[in-house]
Amino acid sequence: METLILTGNHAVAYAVKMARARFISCYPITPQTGIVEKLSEFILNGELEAVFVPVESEHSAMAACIGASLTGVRTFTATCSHGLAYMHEMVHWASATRLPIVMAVVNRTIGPPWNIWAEHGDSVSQRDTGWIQLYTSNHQEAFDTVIQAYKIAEDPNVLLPVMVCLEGFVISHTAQPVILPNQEDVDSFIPHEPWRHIIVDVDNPITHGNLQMPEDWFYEFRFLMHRAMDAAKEKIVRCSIEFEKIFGRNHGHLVEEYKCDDADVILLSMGSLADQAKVAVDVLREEGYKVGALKLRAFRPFPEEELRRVAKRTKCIVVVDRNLSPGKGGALASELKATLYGFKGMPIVIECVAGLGGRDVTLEEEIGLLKQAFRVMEEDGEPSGIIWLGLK
Amino acid sequence: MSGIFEVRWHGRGGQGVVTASRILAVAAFNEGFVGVQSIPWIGAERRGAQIEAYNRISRTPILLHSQVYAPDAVIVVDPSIISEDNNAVVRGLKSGGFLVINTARSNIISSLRVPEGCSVYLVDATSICLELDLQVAGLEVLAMPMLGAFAKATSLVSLKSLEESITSSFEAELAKKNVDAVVKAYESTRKAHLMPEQYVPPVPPSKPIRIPEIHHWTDLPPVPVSTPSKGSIGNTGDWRTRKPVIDKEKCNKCLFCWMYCPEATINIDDSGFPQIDYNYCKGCEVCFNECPRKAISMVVEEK
Repeated sequence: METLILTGNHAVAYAVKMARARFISCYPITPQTGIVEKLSEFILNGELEAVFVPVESEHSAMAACIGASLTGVRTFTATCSHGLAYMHEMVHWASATRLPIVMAVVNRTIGPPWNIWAEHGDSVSQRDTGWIQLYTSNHQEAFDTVIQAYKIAEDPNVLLPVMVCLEGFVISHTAQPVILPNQEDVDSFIPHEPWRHIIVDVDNPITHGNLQMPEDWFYEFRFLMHRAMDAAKEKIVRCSIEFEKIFGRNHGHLVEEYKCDDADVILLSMGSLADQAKVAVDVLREEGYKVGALKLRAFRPFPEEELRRVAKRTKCIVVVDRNLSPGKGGALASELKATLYGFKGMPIVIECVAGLGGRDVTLEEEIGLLKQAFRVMEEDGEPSGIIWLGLK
Repeated sequence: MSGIFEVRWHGRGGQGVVTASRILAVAAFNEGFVGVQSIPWIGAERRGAQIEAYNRISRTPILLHSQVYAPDAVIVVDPSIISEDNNAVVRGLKSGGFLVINTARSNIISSLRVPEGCSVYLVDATSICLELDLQVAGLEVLAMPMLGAFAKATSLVSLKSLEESITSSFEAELAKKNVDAVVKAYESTRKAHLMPEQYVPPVPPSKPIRIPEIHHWTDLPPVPVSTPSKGSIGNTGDWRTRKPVIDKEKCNKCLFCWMYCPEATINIDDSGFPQIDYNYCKGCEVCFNECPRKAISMVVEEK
C-alpha cells in the first residue's frame, strides 16, 4: 500500500492497471488524454500486460472493446464530450450485448461554443443507453470506483457495462493524495472469471445480434436489461460494503448521506460539488443551520427507494445539476421529482443549474444556496423555477 | 498553521508552473500535510499564454474543488505579468500574506501596491535558469527556482522535502539541475522593504473577466461569432522571453521568415527588408530556425 499524489486521470489509469484490464482501446480527447497516455506507458514499460488498440475514432474504440469483451477478457476505454457523442451507437450495442466493459467518462461539455471544461451533460445524455453510471467526487473515489465497477459489471446477475464519471480538469487534471492498495487485495476483490453468456470461440461458432421480429423476444430482452439494473442496485451496495471491509474506505452506496439525519435542508448533487457541499454543511452547522449533503453516486440505476427514504425525513432538497436539458432543466432534479411524486410527506424540491461549461462553483455559492432554501421555506414554501447559479 | 494554506501561481505556458505546483504538493504531503491539492488552471493551452495554478495545503483532507480566490501566497513566475497589471497578481491576496516575485530589477519594488501586512520576496529566477541552462524546448523553466523562493518566504516546506519531491519526479541528471536551481533561489531570495504608502487595503477576490464589453446575458446574441481582427488575444509580444533580431547586414531579403512566421507578425518594410512586429511576436524561434543566412539571432529580453 502506498500513497501517491495523482491527477484524477492517473488515478483512473492506476486503477485500470491494478484491475488487470487485458484489452484497452481509446481515442484521446481533452481532458481524458492523461488516462490514455498513462495506460500506454504502463503497457510499454511492462507494468500492465494488455493489448492496446489505437483507433481512428471513439465509435471504433467501443466497437473494439465490444469485440474484445466478447472473448471474455476484461476491457477498458475512456472518453468524454464529443467523443462520447460520436461513440453513442456503439454505447447501446455494448449494453444490449450485456458486456461488462468499464469506461471512464471525464465529463466535459459539448460545443459550440468550443469548451473543454467540466459538465455532466455528456454522460447524462447517455442516460437511456443501458449503462450503469457512477459519478465520483474526488481522486480516491475515482480510483476505488473503477475497481468496484469491474465487480459490479461482471456479476452474473448484472452483466451491464459501467461508466465511471469524473469531472474534466476539476478532478482529471488536479492532483491529490490517492492510496493505492496492495495488488493481492485487488486481485482477491475482483478475481477474473470470464462470463459465459456470450463468448466468441472459433471452435464453437455463434452469431449474435440476430434479427428479432416484433412478436419475438426483443421487448423481453429490454425487460431483462431493466431487471439487471435492479440487480445492479443490490450489487452496488454489496460491493461497497465488501470494499470497505478489505480497503477500509466507503464512498457511500447508491447515495452517500452527510449529516442528513436531522437536516431541514439537504443539498443533493453529483461529482465534485457533492464533496464541497460537505464543507458548506459544516460551515452552516457551526452557524446553527440544520443542513445536510447528499451525494448521488449511481445515476443509473437510479436509487429511488434510497432517495425517498432520505427525502421523508427532511423539509427541503436543493438539487444542484451540473447539466442542462434545455426546455426542462437539470436531469437530477427531474429524476428526483419523478421519484418523489405521489408519495406522502415529501419535501419541497428546489432546482439549481450550476457550473455549466466548467464555470467554477465556489464553497460560498453552495452555502448561499442552502441559505436561500431556508428563505423559500419561510416565505411561501413554493420554489419559483430554476435557480441559475452565478448567471451573469 | 491552522486551516487551509492557499497558493496562487502566475506564469506562462511552458515555464513549468503546473509541474512546480505538483512538486510543491508532493513536498508538502511528505512533510505531513495530509491534505494537498495541485490545481492547474489552463486556458487555451498555449505556450507563452498566461496561466495560473493553485495549491491547497492542509493538516486535514481537503474536500474543496473550486479554484483559489483568496490566496495566502502568490508566486509570480514571469515578471512581465506584474508589469502588465499589479492588481491582477494581488487580487484576493490576504492581508499578512506572501508575494514572491521573479525579477532581476529592484526598481519594480517602488511600483508595487500590496495588501497590508504582506511580505514581499524577490528572486532572480530567470538568471538562475540561464546560468544552469534549465530549459525545456527553448523556454526557461522559471517556476522551479520559485519553489526555493517560496520555501524561503513561507517556511511552509523545507528544502529537503522539495529536494525529495524533485528527485522522485525526474531522472537523476535533470533532478540535480532542478534541485540546484531551487537551492540557489532559496539562498538568494531576499525580502523587499516597502514604503508605508505601498500597503493598501486588500483587493477583493474576483473571477477573471475576459470579455469586458458584455455585461449581462441580455447583451448576448444567440451564438457567439468572431470577426478577423488584429491581436484579438492581446499583445502576445509579452509572451516572449527571447526576441528575434534581424541583422540587416546578413539579410538578403529572401523573406523566408515572413513566409514561415506562424502568427504573421513579420511585415515587409519600404526597402524590402522583413520587419518584426514586436507587439505580437511570441518569440517562437521559427524564423530563427528557418533563416538560410543565419541573419536572425535570439536575444534575451529585458523585462
